[in-house]
Amino acid sequence: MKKAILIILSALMLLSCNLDSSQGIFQQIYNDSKKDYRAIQYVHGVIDNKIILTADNALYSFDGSAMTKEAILVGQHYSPIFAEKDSIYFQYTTNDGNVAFFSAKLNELDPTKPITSDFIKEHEVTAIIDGHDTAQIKQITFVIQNLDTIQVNFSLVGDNSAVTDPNDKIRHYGVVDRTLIATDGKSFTISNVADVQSTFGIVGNSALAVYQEDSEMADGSEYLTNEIAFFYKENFSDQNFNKITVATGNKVDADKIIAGYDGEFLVDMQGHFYNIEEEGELGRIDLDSNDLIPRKNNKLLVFDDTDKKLKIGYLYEDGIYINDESYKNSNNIHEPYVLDISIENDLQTACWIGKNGNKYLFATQENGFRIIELSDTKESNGKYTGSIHQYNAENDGQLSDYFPSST
Amino acid sequence: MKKALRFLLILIFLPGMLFAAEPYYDKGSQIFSITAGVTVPMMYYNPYEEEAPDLTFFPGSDENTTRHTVGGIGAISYQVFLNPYFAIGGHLGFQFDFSVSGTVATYVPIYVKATYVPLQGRFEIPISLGAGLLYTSFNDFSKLTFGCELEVGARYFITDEWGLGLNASFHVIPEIYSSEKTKISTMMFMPITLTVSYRH
Repeated sequence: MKKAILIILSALMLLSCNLDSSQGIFQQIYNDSKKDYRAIQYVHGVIDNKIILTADNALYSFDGSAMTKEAILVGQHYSPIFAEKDSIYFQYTTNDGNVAFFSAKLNELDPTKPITSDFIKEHEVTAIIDGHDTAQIKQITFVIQNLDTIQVNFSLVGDNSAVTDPNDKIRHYGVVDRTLIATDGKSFTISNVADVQSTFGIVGNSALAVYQEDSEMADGSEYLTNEIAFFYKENFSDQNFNKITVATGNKVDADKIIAGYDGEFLVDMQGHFYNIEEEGELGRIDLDSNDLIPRKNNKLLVFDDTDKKLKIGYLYEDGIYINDESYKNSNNIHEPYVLDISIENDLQTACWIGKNGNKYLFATQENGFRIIELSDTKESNGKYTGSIHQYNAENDGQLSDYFPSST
Repeated sequence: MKKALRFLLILIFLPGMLFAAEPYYDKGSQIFSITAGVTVPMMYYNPYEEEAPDLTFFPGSDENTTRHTVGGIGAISYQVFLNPYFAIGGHLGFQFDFSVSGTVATYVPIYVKATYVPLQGRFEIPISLGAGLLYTSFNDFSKLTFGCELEVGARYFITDEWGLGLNASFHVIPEIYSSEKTKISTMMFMPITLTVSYRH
């Protein structure tokens, strides 16, 4: 009897051992706390193999094991916009209410003191905007969806000054190419600039959504009562946007544009994916007939940085849904990956950093840096699965393995 | 040392001696309890990790603390008296707390529990020792290990059957690995709980 109890206990102990980890559970709790993650808001880029980011309204760097405060941002008239090579680029509001830029190296920042106006003057940076006067930037918003591209939404002094019809008002869209930032750090260029309607929103890589002529996808309305238009560029270098129009009469239940890229937009309507392609028809993407209940703020855009192919991650109530580009080809449909995540693993995505094999590194607004690891093995329930866990250099590889330049 | 031990034993058994004349319970009496409260991380012993202190104390986030938050605990227990003063039974609990990054850690103790009730009747002082298996999980990892708990309480029976009590205990959880010794460490909590008891 004693022997049987001992065998059962030994088997239970062995089965429950955490064989994948070199740390015990209590050690993991202790060391997990050591990271002391802040709530990540924006990822700005990479310097010296450190990720530069805004968290808890301050500038931080992350070296793979700890986040270090680098600069004060609260209450200041400057904010970081991107980091490249050895500098962090900031925008600030000038005395005349316009926007201007300066840069700073990590060792020039003091986490205890605000950046002085003398420093800003000495480190001014010129933003060159294709076809426009740089000094006239009135308002600018930087959208960074991954570490490759920085998309810009801006307005200029004098824009729309004589325009009375709200539908004729314009803003501007452009891209800061990281590879074109001056080597001396004194200038960067916003290229591929296009004038677009003032109501546009950047929803993907070179993809804009614009509601046309007062149209909207009204929550709860059954059919589109007005035409709706989406715009995209085939290539970064294209000057003009291509237009997709969804005609009046299409059935719509809710409005949420999840993502757009190249010639396609994905729309969430009552928890189902619909795609809008060139012909302008809404097509239901039936992902195994799942009735997904979307979360707020739930889009994840994942670009394969080697060939710019898209995978889309989508947070729903109990998990994360990732399907790759092959769903478009009916002859080669790859079932989506379904990852169950519990509430304590809640994700609010701030930025996709990059990939290392089948592991994807995200900076999240909660729980710091997370790895989504996809498996190409089908589970018994017929679904492709993966797992999600906190980034750990020991098990997941060095941070630099995930940076676009090293993949 | 011997004197101190003798004094402690007298202190524990004195109430029993004083009131031993009229015990409330008989052999076969039963008591069922539901417990809820908070649990305070008191100490963490981690001898094998070189970059961390061996001993850390209390809730907090710096390296000299346990890096657990104050958590919650709930449990049910059922015991049968073997004689008027000693009861034995089972205890099933659920305990949780958080790491500083906000990730939840959970603990499920399944213990055999022995209780000595030196002072009994309307007002009681139960002293319990529980030990058994404990299942703990954190992030995507889990572990079955052992645990033990020494508890002292005070309870008052409002009616003949129903009573309310307040307890404090020391809950020790050694995380044991047979082959990977560097993963071994020990956590100690201090649960403070309220108990509703039903006796029959």
